[in-house]
Amino acid sequence: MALANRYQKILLHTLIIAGVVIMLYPILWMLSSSLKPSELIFTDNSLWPKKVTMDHYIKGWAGISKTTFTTYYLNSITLVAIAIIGNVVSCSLAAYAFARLEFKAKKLMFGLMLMTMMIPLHVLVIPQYIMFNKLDWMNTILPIVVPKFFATEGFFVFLTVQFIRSLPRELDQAATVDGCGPFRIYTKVILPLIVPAIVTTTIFTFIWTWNDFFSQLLYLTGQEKLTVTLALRIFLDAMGESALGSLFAMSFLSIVPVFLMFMFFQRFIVEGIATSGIK
Amino acid sequence: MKKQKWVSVLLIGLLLILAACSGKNAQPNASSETPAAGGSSSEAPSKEDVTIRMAWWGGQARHDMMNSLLDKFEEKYPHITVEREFGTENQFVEKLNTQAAGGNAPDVVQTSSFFLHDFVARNIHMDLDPLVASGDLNVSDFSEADVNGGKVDGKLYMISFGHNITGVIHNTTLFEKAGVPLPKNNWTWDDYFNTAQQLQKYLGKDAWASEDEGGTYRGFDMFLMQRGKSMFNGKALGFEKQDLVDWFSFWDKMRKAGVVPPAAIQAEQGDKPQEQSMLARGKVAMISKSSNQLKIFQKSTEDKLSIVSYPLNPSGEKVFPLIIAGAGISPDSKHPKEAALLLNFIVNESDAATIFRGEHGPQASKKMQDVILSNLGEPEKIEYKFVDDMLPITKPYPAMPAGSTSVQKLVLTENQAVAFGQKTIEQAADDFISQAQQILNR
Amino acid sequence: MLHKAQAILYLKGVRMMRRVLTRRRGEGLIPYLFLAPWLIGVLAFSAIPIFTSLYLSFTNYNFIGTPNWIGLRNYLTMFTDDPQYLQSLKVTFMYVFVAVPLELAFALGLALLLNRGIGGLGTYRSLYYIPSLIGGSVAIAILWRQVFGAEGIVNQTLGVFGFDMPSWIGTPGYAVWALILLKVWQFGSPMIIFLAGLKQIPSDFYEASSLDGAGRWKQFAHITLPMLTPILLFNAIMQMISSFQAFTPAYIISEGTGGPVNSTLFYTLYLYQNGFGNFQMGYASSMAWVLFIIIGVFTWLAFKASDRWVHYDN
Repeated sequence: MALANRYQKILLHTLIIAGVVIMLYPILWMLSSSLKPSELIFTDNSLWPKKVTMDHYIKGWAGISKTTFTTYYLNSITLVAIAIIGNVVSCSLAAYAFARLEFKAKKLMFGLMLMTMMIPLHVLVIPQYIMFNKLDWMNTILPIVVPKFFATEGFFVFLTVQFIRSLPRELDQAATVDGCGPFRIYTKVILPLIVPAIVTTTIFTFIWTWNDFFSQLLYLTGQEKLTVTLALRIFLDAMGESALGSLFAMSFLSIVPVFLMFMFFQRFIVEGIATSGIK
Repeated sequence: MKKQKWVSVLLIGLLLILAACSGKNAQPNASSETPAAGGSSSEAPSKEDVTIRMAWWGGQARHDMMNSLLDKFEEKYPHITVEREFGTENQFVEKLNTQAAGGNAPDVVQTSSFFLHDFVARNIHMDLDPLVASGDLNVSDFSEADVNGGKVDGKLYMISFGHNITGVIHNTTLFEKAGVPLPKNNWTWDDYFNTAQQLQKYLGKDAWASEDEGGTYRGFDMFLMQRGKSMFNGKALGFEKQDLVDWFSFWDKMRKAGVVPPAAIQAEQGDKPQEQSMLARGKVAMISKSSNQLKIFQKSTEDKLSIVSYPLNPSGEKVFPLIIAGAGISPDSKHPKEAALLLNFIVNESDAATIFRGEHGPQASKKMQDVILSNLGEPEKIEYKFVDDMLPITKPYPAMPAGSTSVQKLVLTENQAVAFGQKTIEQAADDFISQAQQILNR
Repeated sequence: MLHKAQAILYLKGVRMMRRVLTRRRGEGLIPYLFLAPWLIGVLAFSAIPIFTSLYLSFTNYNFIGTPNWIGLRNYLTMFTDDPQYLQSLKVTFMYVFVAVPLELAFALGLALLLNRGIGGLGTYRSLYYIPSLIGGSVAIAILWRQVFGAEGIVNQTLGVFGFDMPSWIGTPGYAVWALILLKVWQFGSPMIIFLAGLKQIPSDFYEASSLDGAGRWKQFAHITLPMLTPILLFNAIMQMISSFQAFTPAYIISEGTGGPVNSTLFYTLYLYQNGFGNFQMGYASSMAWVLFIIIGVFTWLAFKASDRWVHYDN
């Protein structure tokens, strides 16, 4: 029995690792290409570079004339950090109301929230741009981060609603009996129990804001305001001279902070405080 | 009913708040922004400090050049600060459209023969004639072709940074290995086909004489021009179905002769970056591209490249469209004089010419060409010679109406449909015409 | 058990109290306080743009001058005189209804696998998540063309097994599959949400059922799956909405042309071509509103059907 179990485990690990290799092949190819001299990127097809060079990393990091990737990283991280705070606070507040409180027009408003997600962004861009321009918010991060404080990303509201709805109602009812009002229930009962949802919101806000190319393109114009995502696109232009090696090198590096962040936060999902919290 | 009332009251209230906010913000910001932005401004107290915005597109090399060029400009005119907005061509267009619709277009905007008519129609460029008359802009050293190419309805809107002509960029190393004589300017469509066939004998199965260019509208446009027509005539198509049938048929003949890649391989190419292009990898021997691309392709391959004119119709008109890259000034600009100063600097001063080194092809001003001529690289020398030889038989690029982007894409789609055997040439041409008309009339 | 009985007793009291409380003036405002940020957000950042686009959809607005009212003409053109539009609908429906179930099945399977107590799982989870981290970056476009090109690794591998495949990127009929696989490859976000959902299931449920002697399958069918249904519903709806609006993937294969032969002409890509390529913002806006209705109908259907299979604890 024990032996069979062991074989089963080895088999499982082998399968998982094989899956990892297949999944990561394109990324490995990118890593290997970023280490090859330019002329070998598309001629030398092997994953193991024949010649290794760090040129692309050095040249790539140097960025565009005066600003380097240090600036772009700082900009991206600032943007993302503020966005996370905004989303976590505003979305969980709204979600609590939708999931647990009773009020008129609740269904209608919930529907409205879903509806705001169903309209393709591209037709909203111009009116939004005009609005932010009138507010004199051009070339600042305000058009990107301020809406986050107003729960405009329905995805996270909906996500958190679903999490709260799966929590046993007895919990807040018991708390009510103990004399807790809605605010105390929200902070003392609900918030600790939806840590996985909050962490998920954090992770996704990080990734999506980091990668959100379109709004960064429209609102951040000055060179000193460029983010990593914007800078990466500048490496590649079909009409001019592109720098594929640097593009691969910097793209690879750009995954690193997101990956580290994910490694760090995913534990909180996994260790899920919820498991022990409910009695 | 009641609810609706409330919603509209709220909306109106909101609009009022927005308007009030923007009104309040506009003033303090306008006065506080300028000194903050102009770092070195205090050194030149005599003139008022001014910040202008300039937008351009390109790859990294161009961004580096533009940035050092603008640094030089700021050094020379310390009271002017140039804010820079740049990206790839797609990003540039995306952003500019939104900015223009929002009334926030940059003061100086890069443009080209492909965008000119559209930008003028959408009020992104202003009439520059008054600035020329007042002496703020100097185009007296410009070649006539560059001045004419910057005009729409007789008024100057674009100041040329350089001009180029679409030609056939070819791999001379492959030609030599195959023992095929190099093509000469003004060769014909028959020459082109025969050369391709000769090359193909050497190239075998895994490489091709040329790319399948039946889907490139620029090629089709040149083909039409040789017939005295053009793709668009105002808001309508400027050619007949038979012209398109002839064009698709030529490329069908090329495919059947096996001198261009099969449909799937060709479709995979798209607008791949130069390093990945079939030309750079020695997979094809010829492609048609703008002459200023020669130096860029040359950097991605060890083989020697050269450029020759696009094939001609021996019985037709001997004419090519001149592609100009340049810049215009926005009518919303609060500082048109300073914007003109910047343009003047770029096109008429040797400091700028040395930095920019004919990035957009030979400059409009012969004087500026002479500044850099001595230290041009080999590919640039070939490029300049080609462009100089062809310049006399060029004319300005024809105008393109709104909707042209989708019609241009239709050339690609319908050529692919033929290449994949989904449609006959007749069907493809019929579908093209009906869909193009529908798009243009929308 | 005791807890539950107590709770039920309390519950009755609570309901009475609530009735009393809500009758007092002002109490009814509390939910709106929680909702305030969202409400302000909707009014300030969404309402105006949304109504503007609705208005534009009945005009021929082309970025120049004032929009002219043309009634339903855009909507009629779309369905009667625009073969590319119908093609974009076809491509999008195919993409949504193939890619989303595949992706969800994959995500759920891996979430279950990676939720078990095996060593090194944290690392595995993170590794599997890497593809989803890069989003739609430019590098992905080049990578994907490399992988699915005529001589890409996929065809090389299939060649070993004797399959001679054409270029996935360059062949109509194959290209959209390269994009479906891309979607499945980036299955990370639903997987994480599933994982978070799995962790939310109180462990005493499992403990109780183990005592009852329930096997792993039984536990899955009677505890895991029902408890996970709200999350499943969420993932299904969100993935559906985002797939209907899929835009970047098409850029990966065709630089936004939707080729080869319009086989990857996604709905929003075509919308974008019209709005930003042709400056036919009126037409693009009406396309947006038709898509809005399509998504709305499917979401509504999903919610309707969810009454039958989604389990909420209340």
